Amino acid sequence: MTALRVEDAVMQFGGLRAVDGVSLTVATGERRVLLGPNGAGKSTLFAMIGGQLKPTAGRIALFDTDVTRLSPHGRARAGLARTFQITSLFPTLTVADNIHLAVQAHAPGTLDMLRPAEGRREVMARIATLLADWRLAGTRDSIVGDLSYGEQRKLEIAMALAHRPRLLLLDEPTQGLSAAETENVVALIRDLPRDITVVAIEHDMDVAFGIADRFTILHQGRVLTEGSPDEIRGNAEIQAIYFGEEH
Amino acid sequence: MRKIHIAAGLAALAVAGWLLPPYYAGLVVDGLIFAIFALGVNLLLGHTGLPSLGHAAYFGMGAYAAGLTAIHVSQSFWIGAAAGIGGALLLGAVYGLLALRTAGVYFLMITLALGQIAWAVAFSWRRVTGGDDGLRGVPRPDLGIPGLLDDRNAYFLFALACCIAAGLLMAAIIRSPFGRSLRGIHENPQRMEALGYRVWLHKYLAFVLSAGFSGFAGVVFVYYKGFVSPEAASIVISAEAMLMVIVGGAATTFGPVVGAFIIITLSHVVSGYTDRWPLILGLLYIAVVLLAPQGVVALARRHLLRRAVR
Repeated sequence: MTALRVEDAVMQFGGLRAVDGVSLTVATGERRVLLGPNGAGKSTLFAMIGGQLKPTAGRIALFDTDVTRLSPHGRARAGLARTFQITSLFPTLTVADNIHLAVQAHAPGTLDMLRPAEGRREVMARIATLLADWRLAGTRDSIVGDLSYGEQRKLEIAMALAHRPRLLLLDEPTQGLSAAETENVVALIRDLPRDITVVAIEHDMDVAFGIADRFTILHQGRVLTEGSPDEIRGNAEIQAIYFGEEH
Repeated sequence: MRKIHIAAGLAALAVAGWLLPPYYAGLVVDGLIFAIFALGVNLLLGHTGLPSLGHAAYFGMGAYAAGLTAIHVSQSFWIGAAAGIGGALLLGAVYGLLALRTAGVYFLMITLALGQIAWAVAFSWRRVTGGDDGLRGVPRPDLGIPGLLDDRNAYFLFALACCIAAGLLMAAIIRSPFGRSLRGIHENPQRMEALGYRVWLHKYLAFVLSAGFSGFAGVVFVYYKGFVSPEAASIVISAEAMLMVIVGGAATTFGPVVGAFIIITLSHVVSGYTDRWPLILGLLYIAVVLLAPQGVVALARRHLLRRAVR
């Protein structure tokens, strides 16, 4: 089974084709990293997969079901979770309340209006587990806006995992993190169970090679090539276009 | 601790209702009615982050529907209340569909426009609403207990009970999973959508519920005054309700109750000296935004906390 299939996706903003006919297939359980210089269309492609943007043309399927016309919440219900390039949390709420919102999104009784939200044992247990797994228990009552950037990134991934998604999209998960925090997050991503498929955008080469099974290289809105870590390392064209700028 | 404070406050109010001269007791009843209204407005404004400038439409709908029911159909409070709240919920269900197609300042404008339509209907549909003469002769409601609401102070206790019921229901809604989701939507709708919430549906339900609370306030209002005019559905009432929420503290559970009492008291005091009430309201709004943007309840809480720390 494929976790994600993108067919000839096009995203046109006025005169700009940010994504210009991208096709992509990710197998269940795979860890795929999208590489490409700024403006290659990576985050736009993520927004199309997540449903935040409606593609100009092309189709998107999750787990062999077409979701091209589905809203973001519909895709979340189909097993998709994502983080954003710019951290997207509830900054005036506590860490525990942020995770609570993530957990109860998929618990039964989201529209329950009369019973207290804290009264549901399975929700509270799941919150406690996530806080412990992601080593956030020490900050559970801190206001999220007061946390360090690294802790906020970690919290965002923890929230994305709250409802046990089958496909996780991570948009630059280690961007802006210190070396120690980066290592920590990479370890947590590596430890994710294999029934979760991960697609990540990552600029840090150590991180990218640390988590990827396969790479897809985007350039100017198109797929330049796809391959295993060894193939990508040895590809001269990629070296010139992408790594050449960095090394 | 907090529960004791609230209980003591309510007991003091109840005693005050018996002891106060009729004029002041009437002031407190007005405060209680508008407290229910402000609770409703706050569900949308404070908790969901949707500023409506047309909530007098639901208040007016509740008042007219209950009033017409009392005059033409039945004096029973329960039937009148069902008609008033039902009418407001229905109006909210229709208006919500239109208003929630917009956001931000456009939401403000469209709720204002929709509110004006309700006002215009109350004003011009003479045969049913009595036009600008208003709907007169609404009898006191029958609760099924004879003699219960015969004198004015008895109505005070009735209004207090209605306000407590509305407050408890609102507190339960705010604590519920649904109430929490509204706070998330207020803060970051895109994230809520990505987490899997049907954001539109949650907003819509908050809109309709908020209209229902406002309609209930209208019901208690019309039975109290025995009269309702298009003024009850006017922009001034919408703006006052919004200000009650902001002054008391948006997004707090009981701030709007405090705000309602402040605005009602102030309007009665000011009207003894000048006709420039909207000007005073405007100045008050500016003062609150500058000095206590979170509302007076949050301000008082902070002062108390600071004193406790010292």
